[in-house]
Amino acid sequence: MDQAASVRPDPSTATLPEDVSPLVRMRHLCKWFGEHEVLRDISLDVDSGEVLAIVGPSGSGKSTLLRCINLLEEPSAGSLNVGELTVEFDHPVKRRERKALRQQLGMVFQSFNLFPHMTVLENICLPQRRVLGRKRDEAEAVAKDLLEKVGLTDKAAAFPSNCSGGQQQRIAIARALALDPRVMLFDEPTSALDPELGLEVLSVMFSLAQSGMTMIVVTHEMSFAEKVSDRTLFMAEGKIVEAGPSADVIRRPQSERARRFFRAVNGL
Amino acid sequence: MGATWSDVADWIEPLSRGFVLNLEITFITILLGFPGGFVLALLVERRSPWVRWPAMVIVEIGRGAPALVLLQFVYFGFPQIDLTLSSFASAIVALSVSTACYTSEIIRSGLAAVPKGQKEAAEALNFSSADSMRFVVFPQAAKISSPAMMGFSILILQSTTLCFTIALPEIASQAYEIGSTTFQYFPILSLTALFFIFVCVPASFLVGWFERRSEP
Amino acid sequence: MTPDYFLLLLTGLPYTFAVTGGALLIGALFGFPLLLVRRSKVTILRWTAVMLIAVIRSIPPIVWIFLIFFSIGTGVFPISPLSAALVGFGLIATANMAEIYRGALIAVHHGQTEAAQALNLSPFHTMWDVILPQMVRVCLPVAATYAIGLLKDAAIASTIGVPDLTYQGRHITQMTLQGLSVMGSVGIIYVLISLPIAWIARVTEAHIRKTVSL
Repeated sequence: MDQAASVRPDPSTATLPEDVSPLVRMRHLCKWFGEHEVLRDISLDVDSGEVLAIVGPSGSGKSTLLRCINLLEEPSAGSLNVGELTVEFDHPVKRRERKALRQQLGMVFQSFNLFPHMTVLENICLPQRRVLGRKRDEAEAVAKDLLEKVGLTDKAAAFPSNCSGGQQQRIAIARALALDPRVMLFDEPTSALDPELGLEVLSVMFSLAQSGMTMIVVTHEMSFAEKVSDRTLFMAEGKIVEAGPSADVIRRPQSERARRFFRAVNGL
Repeated sequence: MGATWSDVADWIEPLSRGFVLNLEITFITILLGFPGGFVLALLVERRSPWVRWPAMVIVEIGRGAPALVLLQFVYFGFPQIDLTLSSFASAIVALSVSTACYTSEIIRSGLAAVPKGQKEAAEALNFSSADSMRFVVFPQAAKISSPAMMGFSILILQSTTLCFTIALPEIASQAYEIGSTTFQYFPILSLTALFFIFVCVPASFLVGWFERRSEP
Repeated sequence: MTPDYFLLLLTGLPYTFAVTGGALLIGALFGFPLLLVRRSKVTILRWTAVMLIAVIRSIPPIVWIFLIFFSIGTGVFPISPLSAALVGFGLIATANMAEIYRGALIAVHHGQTEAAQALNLSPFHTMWDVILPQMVRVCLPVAATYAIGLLKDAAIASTIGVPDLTYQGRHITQMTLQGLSVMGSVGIIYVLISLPIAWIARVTEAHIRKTVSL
């Protein structure tokens, strides 16, 4: 990203110039839970191949933002654009829109959410067969290929309960990748793991980023945000407070709110 | 054919009289059965096999045999050893034993649900084991078990109708008696059902509310 | 109690099994549609199901059985004691199984539905491939425990003349006046029947912890 070299005119701008067409574009996204406004007028662009980290205190709305992208939560207002598809939230989302949107998005959860009653191989194969209509042989070939990539070839026949947390999360990544998404969403993928196990997940994510996958990662791992992501977004109280090249946002935050957060996180 | 409203008005009195008996038996059964269940729960948890095994056998039999069979065992069986109990006393004995065995399992899982750290903290504070149970473990276990115990109380009230089989003039017996003399089975039994609906439906919603409230 | 009487007692067993098994089957079958109504998005349907379940469960089994046997039986079309017991306990089992299914549905971690949605599985396949298999596993021990309860409730069928274990026990007691040994034996037989079912409940419970996300 050549943005990294540029001077930031406005630290809270997370959008690209209008003539550039990003892979993910959000405009004026709002989300209400009853009386409570969780997301306030979020506008954000993510370019193809970009790795975006979203950080912020708990309750800042960062997970909700991620869940709004694949409509696990339905935004209350605004619009969302992924690839060629645009969804306006002035009406309830149609099933067809939701399906088309999710087709382009892979999601990795904090608590893995593997299906415990299926083997690792079945976990990766079933969605391919049900959603993409792949034949069993084809699905298994894809699954085995992906298991090799995440270094778990020997776990194909195991059940999730016989895998460590780090292994389960790598399987969950393989399961999402098997559906050929254009964007991968990660919701605090290492928060439920010991640091050591988190590391094996982070290294899988790192090589995924190297391969050019577009990624949006909600995380507490400042080192990951700094080293792997191109851009970091700092959110608080449902708003984007700061956005820019990761090193700048993390090392030299402009706002008092962000400074306070990073000081606490870095134990300074 | 068909019952008139004046028939219904005539039936209310004997049915109510029967229902009061059901409520009395329920109340006494709770009073005897719940503490009995607590004692059985403690015995089953004892380390000594001489205490644990007999207690477990009692609990398994009390839970495994139908309350109806226990009732008839006491009422028709005890006279065989020259111990003739009235139908009221038989009902109390049988239902209390059944209740004690059932609730012992509820209480036991309540005791087990109290975090181990609580017992350890009491021990570290040098509480005697009786004080640890009384002041630390039991209050928390009681809170955990109370929705299930309330739910079970509703079942006790329902099971008191089994006393029909030992000639106790409770509500089901009253209804059956009126039904067999007037042949108005449907209205009299429906009226009987209403008594239980009026008591048990609100009670079960209350229990459900407690259950949801006591969830973390 | 002589061996003859003991054999007579055992002739009640098929009836005890018929009432318990039949009612359980009816409940397992009709409980599921009742659960769907109970979880309907239409408020009035949902509340009807809630009230229906509460009312069915609040009336004691003996009153249900009498209501069905005597009021229908003496009315237009006579009904046999066994059929009346099956209808009565089937009704009660339906309400209870619906609640057991509901508990199982709630017990399956909501993350499972979310993961299935994020993977773009259709609502049908989310239910069929992901939720239902886990629900069945959660249900098994609870349903086995309920089956034991039903086995004992089914003894109430003896009051309308279904010649089951309890009925035979009482019959023999009246002939021999040896209630202690006869009804004692009846009680022990019930315990012996329920032991293997309890064992199934315990074994399946250990198994589900591994293959269900709770």
